[in-house]
Amino acid sequence: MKIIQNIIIILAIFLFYSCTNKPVLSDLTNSRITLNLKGTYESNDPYLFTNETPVYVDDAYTLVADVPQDVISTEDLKFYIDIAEIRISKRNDISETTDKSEYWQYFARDRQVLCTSYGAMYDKELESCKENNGINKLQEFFSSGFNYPSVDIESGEYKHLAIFIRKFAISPAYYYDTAGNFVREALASFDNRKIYGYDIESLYQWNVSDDTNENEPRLFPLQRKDLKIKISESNKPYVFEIRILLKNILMKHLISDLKTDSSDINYLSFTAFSDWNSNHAHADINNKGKMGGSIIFNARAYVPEETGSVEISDSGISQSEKYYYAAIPVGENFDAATQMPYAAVSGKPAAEIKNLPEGKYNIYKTCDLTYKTEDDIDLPGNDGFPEKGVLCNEAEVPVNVTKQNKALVTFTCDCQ
Amino acid sequence: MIFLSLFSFNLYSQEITEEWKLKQQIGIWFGAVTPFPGSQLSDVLNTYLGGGLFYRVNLPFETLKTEVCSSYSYYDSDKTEGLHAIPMYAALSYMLPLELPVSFQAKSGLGAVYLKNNPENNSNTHPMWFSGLEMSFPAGKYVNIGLRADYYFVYEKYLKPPEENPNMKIINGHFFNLGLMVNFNI
Repeated sequence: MKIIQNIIIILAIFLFYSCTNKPVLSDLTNSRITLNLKGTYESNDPYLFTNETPVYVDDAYTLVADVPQDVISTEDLKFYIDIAEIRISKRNDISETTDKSEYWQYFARDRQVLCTSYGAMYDKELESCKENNGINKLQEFFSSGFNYPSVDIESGEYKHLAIFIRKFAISPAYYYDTAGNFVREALASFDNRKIYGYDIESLYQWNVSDDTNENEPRLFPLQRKDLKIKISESNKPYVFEIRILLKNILMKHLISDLKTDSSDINYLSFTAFSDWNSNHAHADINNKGKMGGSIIFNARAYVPEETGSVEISDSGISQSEKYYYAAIPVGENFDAATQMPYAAVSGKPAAEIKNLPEGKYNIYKTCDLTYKTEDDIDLPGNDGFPEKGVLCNEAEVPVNVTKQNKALVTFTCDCQ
Repeated sequence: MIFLSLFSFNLYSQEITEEWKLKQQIGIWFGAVTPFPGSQLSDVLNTYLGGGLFYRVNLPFETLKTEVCSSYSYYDSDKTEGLHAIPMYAALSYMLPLELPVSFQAKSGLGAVYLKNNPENNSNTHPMWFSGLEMSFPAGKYVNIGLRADYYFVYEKYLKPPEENPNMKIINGHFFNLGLMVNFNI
């Protein structure tokens, strides 16, 4: 019985010395993380939709004279987005043999259904979207971001983030025959209902050069394996921000040569992500509409109470098209032609990039000066993507800032 | 015939009961552990596995023993959360005066529980209250086999929200275990 006594004493000592002031159970029901999902290039103060009327038009479209060249306004568009989940990992070496439960941290598993309206065909309703309060969430997605239900993740550095987008339909989308006559409106399945619109999921899953047996799909999941997102051990609440570039690059596209012996349909006209980074051979039916490559995103984490902002005073030329100010931590590379910045704000005379942790930042001005032609040549014009980045100045967000603190930076910066 | 069998079993078990009741007991249990259904933690954690060790000594009353028990439980989730728990408590165990082939013990006691959560790896020791019901029957003179159901109330509301997260809502914990047990009468 001496052994039992000793066990009891050792356990009692262990329990006594394990006393801290940390609420362990409450920690499980109170998440530190706020997962914020945005559909904008900007991390704060994005352009309004009214700034973006009408949407860009693919030059492939304008080359087909038969098809009506109707102008589509952003206010005419309806979005239907169904996100299955978001996963994260500290590793980036996933393969077919990887134990997925070891690899991933399943931190946002609640399906989110966003939509512009709850109405579906046959007088039905999009029930999941309605239960999700999907209209409000979509509006937030295109402005300040909506809070995706999530749970805490381990501290450390994360490299791999994957967003599993199940469905992505945009309305309106029209079919035309060879002579350019309207045949019918496109239909899609969404939230177990039929809706007017076209599900662009399959179009953006691959790009023309992808081998569907070898390459990973580009939309399910939409993923990056090169991130360096640090989560500290502190108990302070933090925001995990993910920005998918969508709102700023909406473009009207046309897919041709659809005619078969059994159908008069020859053209599909729809609106989706711009073609700033996709091979136009997608318009060839042989490539089955592979338009992938133009959906990019960025992610970062910050503790709101430990951030400041950079207020910008730019005496350079204001661009007629959309332009932005971007903040990149000093030491990090930024290629405006292929990447989304760490943080950005829409361009205006008194712009302020908010929610920046302490440190030095390179401030860029990014502008959209070119568009990609059907022959994959960049010509002067616009496709929504600000591919030109000019380093304007450096700004330092001071140590121990509060939200009232701002770093002021003045420069003359032009994209030309 | 059935009546005679039951009657003889009853007599036999009564003799055995008399013997094992007077001995110290050391035992183990193993089974399912879960946050109490409906509690806040049940929204986060799933049912999983636990097991433990207990030791009972007699008091100068035939129907009352003291029990000292420690166990380990792990609660997982569908997402990233998890909870390790090592409770240790002392309890009074009252054997219900029922003339049945199986014996029933009602237990209640106090102790402390070491907790460590995932993914943040925060840990602490909290006071706890234990209450339980056990059903067992003697399998010979030296062994009892049975089933035990335990409830733990873990008190955390004595803590304040951490300074860095003043909006944290502090909760208490409620847990339930259901396990198979075997103990040795020594």
